[in-house]
Amino acid sequence: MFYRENGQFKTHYSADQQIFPIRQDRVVILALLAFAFVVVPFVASEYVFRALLIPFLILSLAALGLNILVGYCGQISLGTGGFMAVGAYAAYNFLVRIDGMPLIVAILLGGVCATVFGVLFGVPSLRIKGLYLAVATLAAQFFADWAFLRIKWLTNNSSSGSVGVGELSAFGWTIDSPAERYLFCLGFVAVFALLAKNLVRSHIGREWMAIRDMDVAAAVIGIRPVYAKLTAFAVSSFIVGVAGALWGFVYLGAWEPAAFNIDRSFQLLFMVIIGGLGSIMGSFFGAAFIVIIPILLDNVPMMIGVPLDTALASHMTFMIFGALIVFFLIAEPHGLARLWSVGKEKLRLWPFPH
Amino acid sequence: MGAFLETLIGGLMTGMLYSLVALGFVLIFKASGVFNFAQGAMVLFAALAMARFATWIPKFTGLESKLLANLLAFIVALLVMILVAWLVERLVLGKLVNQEGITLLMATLGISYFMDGFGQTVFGSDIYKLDIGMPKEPMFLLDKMFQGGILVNQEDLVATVIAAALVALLSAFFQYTGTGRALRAVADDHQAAQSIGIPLNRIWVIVWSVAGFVALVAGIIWGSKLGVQFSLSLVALKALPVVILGGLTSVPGAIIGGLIIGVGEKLSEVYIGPRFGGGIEIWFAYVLALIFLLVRPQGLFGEKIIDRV
Amino acid sequence: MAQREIGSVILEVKDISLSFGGVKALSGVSFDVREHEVRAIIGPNGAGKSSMLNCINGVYTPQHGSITFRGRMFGHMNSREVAEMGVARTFQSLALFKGMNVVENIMSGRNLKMKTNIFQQALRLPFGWSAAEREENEHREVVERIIDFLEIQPYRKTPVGRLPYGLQKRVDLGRALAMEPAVLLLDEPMAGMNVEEKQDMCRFVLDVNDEFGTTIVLIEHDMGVVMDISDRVVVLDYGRKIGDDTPEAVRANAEVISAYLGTTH
Repeated sequence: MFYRENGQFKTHYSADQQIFPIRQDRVVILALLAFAFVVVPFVASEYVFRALLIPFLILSLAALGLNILVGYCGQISLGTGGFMAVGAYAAYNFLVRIDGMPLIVAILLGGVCATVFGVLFGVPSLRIKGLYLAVATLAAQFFADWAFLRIKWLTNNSSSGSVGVGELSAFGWTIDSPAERYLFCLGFVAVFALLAKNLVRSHIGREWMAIRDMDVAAAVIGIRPVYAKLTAFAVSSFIVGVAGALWGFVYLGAWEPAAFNIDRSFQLLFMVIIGGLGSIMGSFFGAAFIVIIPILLDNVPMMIGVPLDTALASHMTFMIFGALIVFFLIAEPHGLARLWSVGKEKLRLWPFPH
Repeated sequence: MGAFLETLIGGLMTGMLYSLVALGFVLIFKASGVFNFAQGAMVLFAALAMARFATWIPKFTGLESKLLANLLAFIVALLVMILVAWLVERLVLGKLVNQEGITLLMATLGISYFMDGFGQTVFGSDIYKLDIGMPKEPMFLLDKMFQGGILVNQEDLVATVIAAALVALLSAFFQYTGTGRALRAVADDHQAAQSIGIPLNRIWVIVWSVAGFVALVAGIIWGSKLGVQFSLSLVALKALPVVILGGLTSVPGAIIGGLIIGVGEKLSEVYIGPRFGGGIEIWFAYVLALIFLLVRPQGLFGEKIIDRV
Repeated sequence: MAQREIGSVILEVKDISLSFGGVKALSGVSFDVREHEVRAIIGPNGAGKSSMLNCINGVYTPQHGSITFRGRMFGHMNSREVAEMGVARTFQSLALFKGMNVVENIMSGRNLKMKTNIFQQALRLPFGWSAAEREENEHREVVERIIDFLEIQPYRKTPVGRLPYGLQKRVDLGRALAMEPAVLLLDEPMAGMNVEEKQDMCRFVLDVNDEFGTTIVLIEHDMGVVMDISDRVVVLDYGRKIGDDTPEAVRANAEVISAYLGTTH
């Protein structure tokens, strides 16, 4: 009885089309954002920032990027880790080689390089689909793995591909404490989520979804599959590249190519599947899920008195992820996001059953 | 010249091993239209099963004969793989019958992760030795023609023979038996095959069992060579470019594709690699597959797919 | 029927031959379509009717023959160019975008006319403060008018996969209409419908032809419908044309009768 739309009449298409058409949703989201920006920095512990919030935010961003490609445009990619690597190393090069390069610009330029890389490896998608494309994106992943290990120029002549950034600062403020790092990431994520949501509900979003749903019919309407697929790759890679730069700069501080290996690619794909394909919110759900499970596995058994050793815990993580992927694909292909919206539907009727 | 031949033969051998794993892919794709990402995990799982049972059986039954122990372990491992096949059909495939390829691919990805975790939980995650009596000493051929002779790995040679035999067996199976024909019908069109009374579930269990058998053989050979360890499933990922090259629906294609990849990898590593800092083996196969996808997506021997609206 | 005037030839297919591997779908088919008319294509199953439309739309490329649209000749058609020239179509087996709702499906038909670039769309602000929002609203208005016309207002936010078959067919028509086509190719728009649904659909098709002067090329099996609403009829059988005349003349044509009913032995 609280979640009703009674009295919320839309008198303008803009009102009908906005991101959160129901007033209660708007209130909740604004409250959440206020809480995230204003309250959390003072309340959360350093552990919560480092182990939970910061990785959650950055991985959500990467999952968001991947979701645009896989969930909205229906093109599979197993090379996301490689794109993150391109973003990270490119941003590193811009920051280190050019004096006075602002941090945010470097990160965005990293994203641009990832875009170029992404479009290049997106070209095969124009002729091939599904599983073939999966193999093509694996080429991107392994090539990136190798390039950042062996091509000295890319890593500023580091011998093992490992690089690090010193103190970060933007607009004169140093980004040092966990709370500051958290706010920096939160800013990026909030902006990109808004941009992505706008794209997805505009005509380019519909083009992507049309290509995903039935590309022959899309062509007949006049949609150019080439343009749709390449823009999806471009936008997705840009976001993923920025996430990669953030991962390296803000979360890790120093990294080597293995930080962006194929396990990362699979992890992101799992986030997108579990969270919900074709849903911006789903990317956040999926990231939260994947970030929390290993932490639960580390801590819960100890709490109930049955300690798991780390190797076993990591094997069990694999098993749980695998089983969940299969479960979601069978039971709810639209992931947690769909469960969420079904829940909201029930809430709209509550306390009535139907 | 001798060095070149050595590299070439080494590449052919490695290629044969890739083909073994690729065979499993092709089988499952041919018969169910599913791209089984879990093939690598199946190879690892099967190899783990074999390796562990080979040590557990003598321990619990006091059997002295290595040969008997290995034989028993093989049978048990095979039964385990058949159980896996049945479970996969019951729990996963049966429920995803008419979904698109991308959903099934992601489901096999989930299965792959699950099997990796489960296998290591049950069987352990150390490196295990697998000793089935393969000859380990290298041979030196043609030492009259080339100084010192060409180094050939006997183990690889045996593997090649086994793989060739498997391929012949499987090709015959597909072409000449009723079950083989039924499998091809199912690969073409699930619903049509169902409508003429082909029992889809049973067919899938059969196919995944055969693929499990192939995975077991591949796992034993690889495991005997490298030791059974987690990286086996990553090596098996290389089979993906192999089937791209050879064509997803072609058994001989898997063989030829494997040989090309094996040779290409070794040759490029030795002759081109140094110029780029080495280590290009990790991506050569994939980039080659990528180029193939742009030029000839159906592979060397695969069938072209026409979309009808 | 209407007081619209049937104009000159707008679309002409000459000597089209199409085969898939060993199967010959079309052999040397030629006919023309005049502006503002309702042209039916009929024939037994497998006669090549859908294949013909697919050639016009650029989905298939005929091995032989040419297609002339408004005086420009093409050996093969490119789907996007065809759409830009003002040819829209519906599909026999519904080709709706199952992941989107009714409004989004019909809006996708407006895609060709939406010109804002990717940056404008990303930076979209509500209530007319940005170009992307204004464009979206403009086209939404057109789509709403189509939704009114097709009487599907209550379903506008329903995912199309959940709609009953008859309504899905209407959405398909709506998406084609959203392109504001000069020529509308309808592939069995009334297949699988009951009597009332067929009447509704006929009404829509005729209204479109009347009000907007859209040329209609219609594949249909229901002879009653064909006789009622079409101006001229093309008859195909096994990929060849066996009749091309007014409905009454075609009905009396012996070859057509034997193609449908078979000959007595």
